Amino acid sequence: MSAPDEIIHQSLRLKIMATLNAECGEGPLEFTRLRNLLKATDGNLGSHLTTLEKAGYVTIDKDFVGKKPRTRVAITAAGANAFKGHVAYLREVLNGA
Amino acid sequence: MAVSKSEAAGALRDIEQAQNRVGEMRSYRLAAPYLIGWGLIWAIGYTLMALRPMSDWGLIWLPLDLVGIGVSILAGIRDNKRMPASAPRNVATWRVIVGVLFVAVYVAATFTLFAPHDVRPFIIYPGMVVGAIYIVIGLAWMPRLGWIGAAIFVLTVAGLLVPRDYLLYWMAAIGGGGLMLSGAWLRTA
Repeated sequence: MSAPDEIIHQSLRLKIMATLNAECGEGPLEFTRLRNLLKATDGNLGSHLTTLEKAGYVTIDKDFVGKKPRTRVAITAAGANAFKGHVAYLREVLNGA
Repeated sequence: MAVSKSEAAGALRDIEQAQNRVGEMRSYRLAAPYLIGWGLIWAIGYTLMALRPMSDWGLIWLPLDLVGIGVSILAGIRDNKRMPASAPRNVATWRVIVGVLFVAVYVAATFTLFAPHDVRPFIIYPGMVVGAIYIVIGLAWMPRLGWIGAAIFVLTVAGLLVPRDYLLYWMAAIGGGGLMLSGAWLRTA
């Protein structure tokens, strides 16, 4: 049986990973777009992204477009694998494996 | 860490919802340039109608529609290539083309059937049909398109209250301008 991932399993982090995983073919996702997709607050989203970044599951890049600051988030290969593994675990639990 | 069956089911449901929302937002972003492009065609077409005699109207719309359909097909092919391999392809390009052609035939058949003597139905009815189609798409898949369709439908019907001399300009502004603004709104998704 696959093992659960305690970092990913938290509700908002799970949604963050699901969203980034679905968007991964289109490059990094802007923080504001991610916030709107998840309907989360800046502070809550920021703290969970930091946890995921420390685990090596996402990268956070900050730059400027003109004078406007921009934060972009992307899932890493390790993050995609961890997410895939956690989903496999959840399916096994559901199917009673 | 132990996860119960109900917790696992809830987590998988959350994942599915997040993925569906990403797909919906992606669909809006993909639809945006089409709305802006057709809004431009709509605005040009109705403005030219206002400036030219009725006998020229067919000649105005034929090239505009051909350009619109051609560019839409090329954009559709480009979008399919750009989409991530994991993204679902909900609607094939040929289905969209057949749909557009069917709507054109449907509008023409309605005019033939009811043979209106007033010029206003010829100006207003296509906008009503487009608005109705967007409402149906909105109810089924993409809520934002539903709101856009409702706005187009109501404002198009409101054209009946506009003095006839200004009706074509009204349609250029609310149809063309409305579609372009809607496209800009969808781009923010």
